[in-house]
Amino acid sequence: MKHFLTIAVSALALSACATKPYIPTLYDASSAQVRSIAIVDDSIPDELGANELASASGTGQAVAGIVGYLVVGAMEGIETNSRVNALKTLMQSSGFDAEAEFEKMLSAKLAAAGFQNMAVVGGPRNKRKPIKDYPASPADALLDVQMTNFGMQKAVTGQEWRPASAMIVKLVSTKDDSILVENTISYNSGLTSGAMEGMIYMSPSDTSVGFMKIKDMTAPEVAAQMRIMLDEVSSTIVALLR
Amino acid sequence: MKAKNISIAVTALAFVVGLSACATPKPPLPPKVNFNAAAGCSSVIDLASAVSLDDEPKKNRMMKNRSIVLTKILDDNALCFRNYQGADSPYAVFEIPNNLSGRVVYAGAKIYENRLVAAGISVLDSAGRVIKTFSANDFRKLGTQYGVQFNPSADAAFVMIKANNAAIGTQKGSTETVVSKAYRVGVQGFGSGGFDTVADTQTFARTFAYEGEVGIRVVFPKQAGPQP
Repeated sequence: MKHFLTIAVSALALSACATKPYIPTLYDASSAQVRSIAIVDDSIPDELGANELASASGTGQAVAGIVGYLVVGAMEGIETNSRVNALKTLMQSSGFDAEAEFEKMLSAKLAAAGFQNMAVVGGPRNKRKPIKDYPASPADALLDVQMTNFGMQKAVTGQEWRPASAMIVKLVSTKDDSILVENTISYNSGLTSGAMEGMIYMSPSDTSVGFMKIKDMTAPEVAAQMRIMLDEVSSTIVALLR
Repeated sequence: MKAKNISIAVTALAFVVGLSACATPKPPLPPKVNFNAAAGCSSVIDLASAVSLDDEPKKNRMMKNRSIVLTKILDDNALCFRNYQGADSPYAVFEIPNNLSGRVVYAGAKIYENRLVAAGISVLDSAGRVIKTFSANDFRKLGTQYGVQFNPSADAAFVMIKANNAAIGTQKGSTETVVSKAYRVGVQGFGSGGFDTVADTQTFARTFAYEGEVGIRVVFPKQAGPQP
């Protein structure tokens, strides 16, 4: 029965890829008329992922389309509690607050792009599910970064850990909740080639620092590599609003 | 006897050579950083040579997939544009399929292991006038292509992808994790196989060059009326 299910899931995943292209919603400055933007809070998962990609069987890909891949397909490999806990212990004492730094970067870049920055809105949320009812704000639009995955990742035993994340970016009008922008960004999150078509795919540079083992990492080094990722990702997000 | 042995040895050697020829991947083409136009260059864009949906056999149009891909190789044999300063660049023109509501266009250069075309991308109207030119900040890695995404305006008719001479020879480095699915045949017969994830991280330094595939990919939602 279990085997049958696996085949059914694979077939579903294949057919889903073949028939439904992901169509992003691109910003149209002339019709959108957005002057002020509020960032929606709680963009980054609280728990750092520590994931090894290879050797996972294709679970979770029954969710159709690219968003399904993002939520379930990306970073779906082996994630043991011991790795997650080791990374958590390492980073807890460091005082590195990824989300606070990310929001600060977004804020500064929105201002540099000419948008008036409004207070962050909203509270804790489930990063794997889209927000249904957006919080009220005096801003013209809300910037909703739904980061479904955030953490360190390596491809396979013997290769290096590097930061990775995957997210759905939305700009939502506060006037009528219409979607002004929707796009998907994968940063080193190891998606299969079929899922890559249609999304923005970012990678660490050729000079990025990787780590062979979690026990070799120091918190400042990991934080530094994650800051590079968050900086590059936030630049891309704000560039989508041109 | 001796001759037969030699013959066997030769056959065996040929077999080994044959095997090794199969097993050894071809080295990638080096990035082409010089352009020598095979034909004459012109400062008039050749719209008549535009790659269009009509060039594609109907069965290849992938309408069911709501996605249209048009590609062309840029090299010395490509169309050649001469700018007002007398500099020559290879280019290709693609006709944006019309009569599709909600279409989004991806345009850019295919990413090879070691190179990609240094693409300069413009949107033209039906008379070939430039209505939009993308800047370096608009370029992103979009799956297997390095390029731009845009909503074509009502007057957009063509995409022109021309080598950007200024970027030729520069490099872009990255550390990428490539994931694929490999089918594993089950040992217990039908039903015990499945797809395994195969992942690998590699460092790349790609050179912007004159040669390589460029193209557009148009995706669109389900259409109410007839499709092109």
